[in-house]
Amino acid sequence: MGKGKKIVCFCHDVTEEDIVEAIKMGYDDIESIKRFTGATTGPCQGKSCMMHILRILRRMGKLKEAKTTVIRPPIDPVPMEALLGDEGEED
Amino acid sequence: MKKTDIAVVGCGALGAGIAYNIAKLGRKPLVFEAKYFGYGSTGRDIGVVRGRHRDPDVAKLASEGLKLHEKLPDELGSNTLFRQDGVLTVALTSEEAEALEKEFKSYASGSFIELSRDEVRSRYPYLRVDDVKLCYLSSREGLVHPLAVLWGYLDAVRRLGGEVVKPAEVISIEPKGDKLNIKTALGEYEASKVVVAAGFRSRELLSKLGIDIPLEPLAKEALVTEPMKPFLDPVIERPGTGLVVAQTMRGEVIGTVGSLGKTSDLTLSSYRFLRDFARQATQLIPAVRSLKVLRQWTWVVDTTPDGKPVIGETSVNRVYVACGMHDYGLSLVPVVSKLIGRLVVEGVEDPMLKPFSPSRFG
Ligand SMILES: Cc1cc2nc3c(=O)[nH]c(=O)nc-3n(C[C@H](O)[C@H](O)[C@H](O)COP(=O)(O)OP(=O)(O)OC[C@H]3O[C@@H](n4cnc5c(N)ncnc54)[C@H](O)[C@@H]3O)c2cc1C
Repeated sequence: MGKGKKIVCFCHDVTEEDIVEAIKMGYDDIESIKRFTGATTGPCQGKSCMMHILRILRRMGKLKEAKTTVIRPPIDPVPMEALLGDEGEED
Repeated sequence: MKKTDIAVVGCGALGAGIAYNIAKLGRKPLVFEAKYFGYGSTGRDIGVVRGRHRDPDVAKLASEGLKLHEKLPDELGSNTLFRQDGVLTVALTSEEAEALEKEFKSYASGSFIELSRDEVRSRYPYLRVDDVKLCYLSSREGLVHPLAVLWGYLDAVRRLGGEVVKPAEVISIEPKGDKLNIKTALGEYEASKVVVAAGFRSRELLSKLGIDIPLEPLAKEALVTEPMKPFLDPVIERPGTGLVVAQTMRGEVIGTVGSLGKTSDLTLSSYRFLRDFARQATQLIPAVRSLKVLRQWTWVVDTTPDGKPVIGETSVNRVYVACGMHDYGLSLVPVVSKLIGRLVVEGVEDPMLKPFSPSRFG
């Protein structure tokens, strides 16, 4: 048995290999990696994987600025039913 | 100064598609992208591919675009995740039904069918049909992964010997003899021809050349939920309120609601959008009530006064443009990029492009 897979993103099962492969294909900044591999877009919204990816980028000499992806609202997932607002509420 | 053949400004799905079609005709395109792949509309898109449109000129492109989307995975040798489970267009009020009926009367018969409330109920048990007044199914339409389209084109461009550079903002384009001087963040280039496909930013770039394309940037919001097991086959849309709901292959529910809004320096995602979406989506699809919203975002789409895209050669020789794609451009990308590729490389203008000429704004 060789070494096991190194999972970087648990939400979408993205491995370190997947990230390295994406970087080699030219998706070599955090925003491109996010879109190409799906890492950072699962229920954790990058909270558990972003730093790993930045580290891989740095190791490969691709980290131009230490920047995360743009953080989109909501900060934590919110159920649709909590967003219905009050009856009669208008704008 | 670096020399190049045909330059493309902007690497959204459209710019990448144009580069692909130029490369396919044997030329070497060089694409400049200011930010990263998927920075613009293409990365914020819902991904609905429709073969119809209210404007008859755009409808011709859309119908051709749908056919080409079907062939794209084979043509590019990469999966665009196009899933043709249909688009279900519903009206929930009498006014909406009247408008919808009128609109669909103008579409080619055979491209859609009308479904009765009972048919909707038996085919799509997760839909709450109580309020549905009218429903059409366009069964060949569906959902594509917008970024997979972009990546597919990009791969093919590189395979065919084209080049893509990022981050490489184009600052200006200037005619010089029979060439064009392009100032970019990576230095100066000389090109034989330039195609601008820079979304709403096409206007400011072209205005430096004395070309005025009256693009108005308007805001569009969207959201995505956590994934759940696949249950929603077709795309559900309610044109009366701008509601669109679909489920991606990853199981996320993705959607939008509302009309295009004014933009400001602070174009932010709004609570109002979340609430309107939650209300309207749960009214039609009660099962989404418990789904959690993961992300919402806003982007600025490129609109024109007559609602049509702008595609063709500009008043400056050898400078071409493809913009004004509103919030329906992805459906058109395969056909627009093919036709503009032929125009740029072979000088052949397809009659389908006539209504979209940049000179129409005079
Ligand atoms: C929320 C939303 C939902 C949508 N939903 C749908 C849908 O369901 N179906 C559909 O068909 N369409 C939809 N659209 C529209 C669709 O996304 C676009 O029309 C389509 O992807 C084509 O985009 P584009 O390539 O023209 O522009 P973009 O993807 O915006 O690409 C333009 C690129 O040009 C770059 N650029 C700008 N200025 C410069 C410069 N000076 N130098 C270098 N590069 C530059 C930008 O960084 C950008 O990457 C939607 C759009 C939005 C915003």
